[in-house]
Amino acid sequence: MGDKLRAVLRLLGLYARMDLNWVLQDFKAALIIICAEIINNLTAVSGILLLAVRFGGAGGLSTDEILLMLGFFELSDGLCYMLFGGFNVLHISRRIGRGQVDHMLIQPRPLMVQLLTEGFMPVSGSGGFLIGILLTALAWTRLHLEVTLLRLFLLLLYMLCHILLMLGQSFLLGSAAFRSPVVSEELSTLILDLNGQLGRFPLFGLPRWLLGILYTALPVGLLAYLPSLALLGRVTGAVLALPVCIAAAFMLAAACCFRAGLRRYLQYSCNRYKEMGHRR
Amino acid sequence: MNADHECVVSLAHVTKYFDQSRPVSLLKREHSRIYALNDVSFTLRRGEFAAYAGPNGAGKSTTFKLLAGLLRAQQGQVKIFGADPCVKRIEVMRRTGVLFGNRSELWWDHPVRASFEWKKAVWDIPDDVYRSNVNRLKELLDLKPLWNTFSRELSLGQRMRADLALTLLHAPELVLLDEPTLGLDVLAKRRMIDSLKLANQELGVTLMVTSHDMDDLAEMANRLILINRGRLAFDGSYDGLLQMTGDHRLVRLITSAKSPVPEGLTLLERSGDRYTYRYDGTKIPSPQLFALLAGIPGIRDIQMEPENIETVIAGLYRKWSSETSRGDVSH
Ligand SMILES: Nc1ncnc2c1ncn2[C@@H]1O[C@H](COP(=O)(O)OP(=O)(O)OP(=O)(O)O)[C@@H](O)[C@H]1O
Ligand SMILES: [Mg+2]
Repeated sequence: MGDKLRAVLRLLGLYARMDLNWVLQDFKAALIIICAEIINNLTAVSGILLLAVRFGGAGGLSTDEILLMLGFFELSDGLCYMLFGGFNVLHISRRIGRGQVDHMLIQPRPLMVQLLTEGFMPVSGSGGFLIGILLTALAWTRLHLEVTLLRLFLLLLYMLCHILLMLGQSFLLGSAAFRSPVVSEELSTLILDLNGQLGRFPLFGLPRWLLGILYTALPVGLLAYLPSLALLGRVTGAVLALPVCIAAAFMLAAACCFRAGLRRYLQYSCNRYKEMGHRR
Repeated sequence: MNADHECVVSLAHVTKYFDQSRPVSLLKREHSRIYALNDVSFTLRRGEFAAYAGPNGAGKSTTFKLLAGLLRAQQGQVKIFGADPCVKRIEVMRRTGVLFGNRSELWWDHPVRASFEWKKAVWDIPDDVYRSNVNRLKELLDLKPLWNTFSRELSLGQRMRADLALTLLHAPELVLLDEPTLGLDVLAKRRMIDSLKLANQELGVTLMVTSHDMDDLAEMANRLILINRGRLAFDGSYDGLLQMTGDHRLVRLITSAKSPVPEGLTLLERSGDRYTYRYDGTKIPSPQLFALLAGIPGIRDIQMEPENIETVIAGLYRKWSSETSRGDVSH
């Protein structure tokens, strides 16, 4: 276990160095990419924020509470992107469906270790995370939220849940690429984009059945809305554990499907190979 | 080292089929079963250099995938270093180098150097081993001028050289190369062949190489394994192959007279006063040939040479493809 952890840390260091080198090689281009990502993240939050400012809140939340929710979304989504955004780890359907699993199987490392490390891009992929820190800190001070141990714990826990929910969905849908590459790639991209868009919306006032779906099968409500309610102390009790349970369920399902897919892969291989997307 | 490990690669009665299906109408699909490998057995001992050849679709790449643990056979046993490569993937991969000529392991948006540093970390190559191997490979495959070039800017042959060096970087005991001479110019091919021979002779690396260039293969390897439609068609030395196909040789004559076709020789080509004949060295021994040639008037020059291996194998492939019974498709 200690060895594995050390290996993971060393590989994270490797990919961080490679990311830095990549940025330094063509600093201008890298700067443009990072700026574009920051602008992209800002535009994604500005729509809802402007509505909230215009109407003095939205979806049952005040403007500052909306800011906290958006900040939390950017923070966890940015972290997710920073850790797993590289080389399509987060879009695993693309790599599976393009026959690139072979490149992984010839490395003398467990696939888990590879997947945990390859996507790390702390320099070129940090835009969203930085914006998240800024927005969350801003909202936190404007709301005069007390920094308690419980609140910090919930913050970190829900960030982890956010990441696991995204990975779980990606790997669950991506595992279908072992069978039908094109369908899986399209579907997975669609669903992940949907998470990015709907995850930033306050869901207050939706009919219960719809909220039920958005808290379970299509868990966009667990990405930022429910966590920010919890941080604000607006929800208490068992519902606090919902993101953990659903994230665990998605990860479990994803792990089972991925394993089954891999077994199938060893039978059928992939008769479609594209070289782009698994490295840069 | 135990005896099991002396046998580096072993395939025992390996059968691998693929079920392919294609639509025949909106609702109906037609299924067929392609036997990529059909009851194939062979072993490679430590230090052997085997050429693996066969027509397109014969099952070469499939064999390599089975050996590299990228596929699992339906029947039979595949063993590398005495272990199932699918089960002991990590241990096997530490000691094996795999290169598919149509794929690259290089990081295309980084200098060539970066891919080597990446591999050092991922394969956990000790510093001293890395340094000496990199220096040796840079020299052997002439990578110095390319070392800081971005991989995306390499030509096909330059890429292949860098990829081969990367494959050999961790000093693998077994190297599997699927069409490594793809796109190489004459000199680069020389370099690649030399470096593979060197790895085989000096480091005792076990090698298995596929290529469609028979002359390359004949030059590199001392053992030839031929596969056709998933079945082992030949396994032995080049001399052994010639004995099987007949030791075909060519005689070229320049003669002022109109040359007849002596008994037992086949006229292949004639241009002006130049004639090329083929004969089977196992049926017509040299003294008999000289006697035959002595009967031809006005000879000014005689040249004799073995038919090149490429032609021999082309003849074999032609024979195979005309044997109509495929026997590998079942609906
Ligand atoms: N993933 C796959 N799904 C279905 N059929 C496959 C698959 N991979 C290979 N085949 C079939 O198996 C047979 C052997 O293919 P293979 O790629 O091993 O041939 P090869 O000897 O490498 O040929 P080439 O010289 O053209 O590279 C072919 O008939 C091919 O159609
Ligand atoms: Mg092939």
